[in-house]
Amino acid sequence: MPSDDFTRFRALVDEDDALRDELWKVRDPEGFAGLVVRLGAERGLTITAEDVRAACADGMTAWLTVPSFW
Amino acid sequence: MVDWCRLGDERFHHAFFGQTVSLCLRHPFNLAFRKQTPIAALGECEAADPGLEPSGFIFHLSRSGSTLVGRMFGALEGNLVMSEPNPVDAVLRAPLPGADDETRVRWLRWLIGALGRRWGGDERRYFIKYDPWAVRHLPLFKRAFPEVPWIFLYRDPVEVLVSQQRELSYIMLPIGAPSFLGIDLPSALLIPPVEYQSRVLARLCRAALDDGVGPERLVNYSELPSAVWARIAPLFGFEPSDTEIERMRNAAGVDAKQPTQRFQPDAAAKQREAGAAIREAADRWATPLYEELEKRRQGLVI
Repeated sequence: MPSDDFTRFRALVDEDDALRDELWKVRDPEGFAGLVVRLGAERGLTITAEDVRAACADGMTAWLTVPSFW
Repeated sequence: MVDWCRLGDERFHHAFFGQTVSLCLRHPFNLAFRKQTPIAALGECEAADPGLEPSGFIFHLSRSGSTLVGRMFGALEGNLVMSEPNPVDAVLRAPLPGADDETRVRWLRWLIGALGRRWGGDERRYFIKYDPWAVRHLPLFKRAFPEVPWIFLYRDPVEVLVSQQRELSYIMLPIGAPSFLGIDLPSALLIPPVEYQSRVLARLCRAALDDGVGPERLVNYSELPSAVWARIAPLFGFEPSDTEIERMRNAAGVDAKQPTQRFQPDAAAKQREAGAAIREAADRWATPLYEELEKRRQGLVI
């Protein structure tokens, strides 16, 4: 389960084009995790790199179960 | 539900839609912030901007040159080609609650509209190559897009079966037998693979024949690549210039699925390679329907 703060951050991402654009600039997984941690902190949210890695793993698992995709 | 994937600067220029999406899924953003919405979000997209009206649909028998045709169209500026977009299959086949034909037609319009964006900014024409099973749903496509021209591309089943022995397509897996052929899975697993594959090809040919397809929509692999600019493009509403034909010729010179290899028509080689089992299976199931298609294409049957 994602942390509450990660869930809050996800809601911000959904609403904010500029935030999405900023997150898109970093492609390597560790750099991306660090960016999410920093951008979350700037918004008063406590997110760990482990939260981000877990969210990526959950996302990959979810994509693999999209019935029409594979 | 609809799964959304951010493309960034990526564009749909890979041989298959799924390859482009797979590439985008390497970006951690698309994993950590995976977005899902109800399918009605596609309707909202269409209402806000209907996207490009499709210029033409390509249905095919598999291993019949459809990827090559898509690549040739994709070589021209202003052309958007969607190659076997997986979500279409979900709209057509998934056992979704409440999905009667009318609903699927609406969803199909939304989805095709959502994919038909000006991703690069200058797209004017929009082509969709469907997966081989889609021809079974021709009536739905015609209801959803009555004005959009389409072709059925096919090939001598012996040659398709030879290709399938080298690399089996997912459509040839017996898991699809209950819905595609009306055969339960345990029975399908007892059918020799080549025979099963020939029955699948027969089913696809039958779908085109049942639609009453006319000669202008039937294209044999043997007519490629020149049929792309001489027959298909005009049917799809444009007459390629000499420069565009040259670009398509160049695109045809490259193997469509393996761009580093030269494309060579290989009918003769595949015919030489076909063994007795392939010929027998083809003769029994798919070839008679292929011959019917050929008669229609040649105007021998109205």
